[in-house]
Amino acid sequence: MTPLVLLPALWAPAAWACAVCSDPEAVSNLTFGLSTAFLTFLPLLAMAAVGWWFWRRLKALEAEQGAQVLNLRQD
Amino acid sequence: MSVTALPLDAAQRRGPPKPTLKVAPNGVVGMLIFITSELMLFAGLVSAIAIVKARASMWPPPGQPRLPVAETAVNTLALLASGALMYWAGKKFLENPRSALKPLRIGIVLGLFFVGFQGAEWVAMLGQGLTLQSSAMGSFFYLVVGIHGLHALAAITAMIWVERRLTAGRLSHTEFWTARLFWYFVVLVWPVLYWRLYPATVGS
Repeated sequence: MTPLVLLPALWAPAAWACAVCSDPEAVSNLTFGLSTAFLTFLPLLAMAAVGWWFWRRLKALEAEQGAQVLNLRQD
Repeated sequence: MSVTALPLDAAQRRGPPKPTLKVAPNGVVGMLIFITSELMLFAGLVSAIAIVKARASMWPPPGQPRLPVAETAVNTLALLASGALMYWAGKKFLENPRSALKPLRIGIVLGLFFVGFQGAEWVAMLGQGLTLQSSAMGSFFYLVVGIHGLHALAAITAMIWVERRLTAGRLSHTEFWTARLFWYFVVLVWPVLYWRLYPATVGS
């Protein structure tokens, strides 16, 4: 059902509702596109960075704990 | 004689509990979430500046004073130096907590210098006719610098609290780590705001 509803959108002319998107100046349109990409990917990148940092800390802690267990066994 | 198997309860079936690893203290995790949301606030402002600038035929708008680029660059260096000092204080704290006091205090003084300088700049710009209503540049200038200044004041307050706790010998590593994270955010977001707000000119 959803594709049937969305299909006409492929042939429909652009509805320039946004004052910035419909700006005739190409510079403004480019800025709008870049800003949209920036605001879309920045939160994803920020969350990925925090997740990556957690993962690195977890691996370091696991390695540290593994070394402690090994030392205890050797003692 | 019959033997009936007694049902094992859930805890027995699971076996001995595995040791859990605490990856980061709760305060640090909370601060990271807060910083991520604050990052989006400043990203929204930076995007808004970019779009308004791209639509402007001339930037700064006609009849509006120029922002003090060189003076604020020096102030930016002071803020970056305070960030470096806080980083150094964090390193010193791990070796000997008392040895972190000196870089921490100098960092706080540099932070106060930054906020005081920005305040003086506000007064000077108001005197030259740049107000919140005078132009889009004036609106962005007071909004962005004001919001960042509030963050800087909050971070300085946190650092003064840290300094008091450290002097009394009651500061924990987690408390210092959490406060420093916020300070790093305030320091690192400013150069981006400066770059978008101060030096760029269009069509003039």
